[in-house]
Amino acid sequence: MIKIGEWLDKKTGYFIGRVYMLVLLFISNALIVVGAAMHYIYGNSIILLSIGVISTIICIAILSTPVKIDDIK
Amino acid sequence: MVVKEGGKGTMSTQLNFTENKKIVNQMRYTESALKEKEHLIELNKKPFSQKLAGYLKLSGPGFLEAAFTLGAGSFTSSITLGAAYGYTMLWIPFYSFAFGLFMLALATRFVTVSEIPVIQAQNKYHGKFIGSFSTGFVACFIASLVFSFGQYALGADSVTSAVGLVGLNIPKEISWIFIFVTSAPLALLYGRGNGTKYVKMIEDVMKILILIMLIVFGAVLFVTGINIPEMIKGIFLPKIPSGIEGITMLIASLTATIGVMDWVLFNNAMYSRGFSEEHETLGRFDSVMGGLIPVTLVLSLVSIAFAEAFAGKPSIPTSSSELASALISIIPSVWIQAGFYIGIMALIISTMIGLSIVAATTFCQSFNLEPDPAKWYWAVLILSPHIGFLGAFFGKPVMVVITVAAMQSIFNWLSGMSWYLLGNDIRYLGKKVVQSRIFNIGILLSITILNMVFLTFILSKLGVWPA
Repeated sequence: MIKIGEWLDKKTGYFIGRVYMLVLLFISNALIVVGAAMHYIYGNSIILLSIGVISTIICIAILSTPVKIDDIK
Repeated sequence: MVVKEGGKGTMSTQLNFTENKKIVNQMRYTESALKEKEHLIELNKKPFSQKLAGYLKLSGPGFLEAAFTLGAGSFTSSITLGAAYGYTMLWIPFYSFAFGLFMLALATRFVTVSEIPVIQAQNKYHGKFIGSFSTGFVACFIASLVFSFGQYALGADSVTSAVGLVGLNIPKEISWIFIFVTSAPLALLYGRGNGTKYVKMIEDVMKILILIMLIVFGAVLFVTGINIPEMIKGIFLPKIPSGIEGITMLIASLTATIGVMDWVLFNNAMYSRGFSEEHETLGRFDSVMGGLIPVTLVLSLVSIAFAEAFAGKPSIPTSSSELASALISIIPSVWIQAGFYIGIMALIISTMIGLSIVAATTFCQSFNLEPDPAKWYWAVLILSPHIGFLGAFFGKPVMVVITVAAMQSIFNWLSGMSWYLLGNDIRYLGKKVVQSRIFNIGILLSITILNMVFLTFILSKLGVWPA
């Protein structure tokens, strides 16, 4: 299994893993905003908001992994 | 011309970090900047107290950034929050700037490690749409033109009100000239000469303007009163407002204090001073001592004055000018009334100087022009935000401000992501890429706030979130 740190800085297609994770972070943030609107304005369940918060925390935890610089001479 | 040494590195791909370090702007290191670098090396060996005094003397870009942040937007946000929520929202400017510190630290890293100005680096690694267009042209240059209308509207209003205290009647259509003649010539001096003399002079002017704000807004509190325990609790213990409107106000206020223009101004100010590798600690120190502390203090003083005067009372005025007039009506001393208006003028003058510097430096970076004050276009660019004088005649062009704010919302988060990627890009920073997980978390939290601002803006346009 590929390590997260390596995947983040590995180029896949046009972009490195960090770009894909940033897109995921954006989607997670969108879930928070949409979830907050649904819960506070329309009185719906808090599930979407909770998913957004949890996935945002996970994305930030992954994206905060520093670049491995051991291989740089 | 000074070229830093660069180390050739390999990872899975060949790095062009060395090549990047050779792309040196000839204006980058002046003789005085090199002397400062040597002085800093010596200073770092001295005891803490001497180092602290030395750092305070060398600080400047942080104060420039703070004085720029303290403008019509943050003033309006602070007085509205103070009047509506009392002491409970004092934490917003503090935490907003504290989150912004991570981006300012990143800006410091860019300037002190790489020779490529940040917008040009964005162009190189992420494309001109992200760099020149989104960050430079829209989020900074165009925004600096449009946001100046609100500055002039509030500034002219305060000049008219101040002279009205001594029985003179100067309409706003004339009083805007005072804002122009005090800010434009100073902004035109920025970067002139061979050394960093005028850059430092403008930084000193900003320090004086901040001091004026602290004195005069502090004096207002002698009249309105202050509850110190409530103030400490309000600044350091965050309290989220209830309901969707409270959350909307919270999100809007978090970005009123610090955004992309602030990061870029701080970056460019350090660049103008010739900050080098030895300056990184100074840059971080400056962002706290020159940025966080003055901004928190000034906005807290303003917010407390309005909290003491209006919180909990019925029928509170809603606009900033009505609120200011209502506060003035309860201040008995004409000197303190005048001081209050002088404080607002200091806010506006410092912000106009900052807007001019942002407009000129970002336009030059976006269109690859030499940022040379001797060139004809420099003066045009420095003066361009003063188109905002029309704000004294017609107020803020609401639709234009909304459109630009929308464009800024769209591009701010793109710029934030681009900066995060640059901070983690060995091609740009070599071995000095961000190596702290906490540093990265701070940057990502700032991006999250920008994302949410953009998303709430979209939802409010779709009618599913309050405006």
